[in-house]
Amino acid sequence: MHSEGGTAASILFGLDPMWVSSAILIATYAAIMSERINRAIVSLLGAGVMILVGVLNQEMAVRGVDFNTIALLTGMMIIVSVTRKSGVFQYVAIWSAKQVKANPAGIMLMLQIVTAVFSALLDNVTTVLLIVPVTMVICDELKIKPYPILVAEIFASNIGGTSTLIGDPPNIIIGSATGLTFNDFLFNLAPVVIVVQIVTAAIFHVMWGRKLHATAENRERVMKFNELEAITDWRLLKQSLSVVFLVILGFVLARQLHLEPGTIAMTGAAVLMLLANFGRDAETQSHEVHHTFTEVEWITIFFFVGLFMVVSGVEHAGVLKMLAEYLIAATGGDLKVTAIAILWSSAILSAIIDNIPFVATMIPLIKNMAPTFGGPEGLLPLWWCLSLGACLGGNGTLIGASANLTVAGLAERGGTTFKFIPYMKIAFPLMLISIVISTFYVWWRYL
Amino acid sequence: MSCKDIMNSAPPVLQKGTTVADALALLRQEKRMNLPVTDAKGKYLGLFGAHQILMLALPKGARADDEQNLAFIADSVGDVISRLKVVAAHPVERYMDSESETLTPDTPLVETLHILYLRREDLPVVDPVSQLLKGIVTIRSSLGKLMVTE
Repeated sequence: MHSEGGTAASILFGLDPMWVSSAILIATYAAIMSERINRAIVSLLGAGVMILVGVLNQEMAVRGVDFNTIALLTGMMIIVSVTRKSGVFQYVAIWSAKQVKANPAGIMLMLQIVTAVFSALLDNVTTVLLIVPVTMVICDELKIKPYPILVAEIFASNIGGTSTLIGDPPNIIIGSATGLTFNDFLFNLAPVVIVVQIVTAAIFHVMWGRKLHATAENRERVMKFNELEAITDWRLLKQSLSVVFLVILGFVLARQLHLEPGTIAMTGAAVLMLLANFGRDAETQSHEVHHTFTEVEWITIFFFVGLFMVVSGVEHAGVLKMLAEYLIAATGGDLKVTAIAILWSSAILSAIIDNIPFVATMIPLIKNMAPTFGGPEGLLPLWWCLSLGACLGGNGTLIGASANLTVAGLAERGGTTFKFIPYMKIAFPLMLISIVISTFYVWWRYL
Repeated sequence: MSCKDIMNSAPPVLQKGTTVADALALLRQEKRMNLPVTDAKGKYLGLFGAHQILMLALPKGARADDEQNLAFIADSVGDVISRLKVVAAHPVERYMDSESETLTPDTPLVETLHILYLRREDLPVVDPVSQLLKGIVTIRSSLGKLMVTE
């Protein structure tokens, strides 16, 4: 391995590592945006080129990977993969629909709440993957169009995910890079998230919910749903809920326990797999564990690994420090202006491009602003702005967040079409409203 | 030996535009699990059969996630029939499987049997160049022909 220090790019090509790393970052971004090559391949290729041209050596590249984020994502994916088999998500969705006597407007509201809460505790894609099919079954029985409820669920998943450290990948990366805890995210973001969700749900109700009607006969069909039948494995249900409870408790107490979230999630995943496979013979265990691992979204995991290396390259080359200085100069070193600029630019860009590479790039850039704003403590408002912008901005277009495309894909299979422009016409203004609310909140609380 | 040696070269087909109701009647009449769908010129378009009819009998949400447990639904036979009635007049090409594997007349015999074994359903034989339907290989008839050959 190379020793750390001087970079080889200038030696190999006589080029400035700043330009080389910037070119690789831009090419990586462009390739991700084009969606013509799988994003995991793009990011790993970008990382490989960073090393091959000498911007990074192998040690630096490996150190650039945030393994806490990787462990947290993988651990939570494993926990969800095992838990979903119990049928608990279907149970809650059906139960909530019956609580409002299968009234379509009530179902729309209840499923938004369920989606937002699940998204806060699990990842958004998994949440919609579990909620959307049962939503479509309910709509089919009620003979109503599922589109309004599915759009409301997209919003709820992205809004709910904003409220916690583990709810949305941008928060996971921000939390891991800054040391902000589960409680920090909860206490700082949950209040505004609740307001945004209430306002959004109210708008959806006025726009769509109050116009949804089902006959008494069709509502009765939903009322006949037996949610207990959705539970396929009571033992697994108890094991899963116990582990999820302990893992979340671990996140809450992480600071006192001196544990990283990645450690907590991965340990929880191992414990749940142990409980779920306890007493089984070796062959069945291998089969089950293999199946569980296949449900981990490896494309996302490897995308993160490559991306961390690419961002590490531009960071080491000094590009992000330079950009931070430009940004500070442009905002006159004013915290208020910088915070609002980050919030709005994050929101707009996250609606158009993948918010994960954007946030991964912004983190070291913001860290470089610490001296201007009085050290790491002074950066806190900027982290909340980045999180709110990146997570809520994802609602703006169909490609703004992975959950949006997942819902669209599932809906398509069930015969409901999602189109880019019609979705954006409704979603973009709604997203802007959420950012306006966030602006007032950040201004009032931190600036 | 190849696929053409065991295929039925004059199978019943569903013309594009055939309704789901008429397709179901033909499937029952011919005692087939599925039938190929072709256009007026005989070009192969897809397969339509029991699998698609079962899919149409389920709530739409069931199609969104194959692993979904639907034990909580308490629909009656009448509810299921009413779902099928909604689609009875729709053309089959709306629901046919146009992505399923096809054989060619020159697919080797063992590979033909291998694909039948893996797919567990009757498969269309399609000319790779013209895309014209050349026949169909059914599990039942291929086993019958092989036994006669022996």
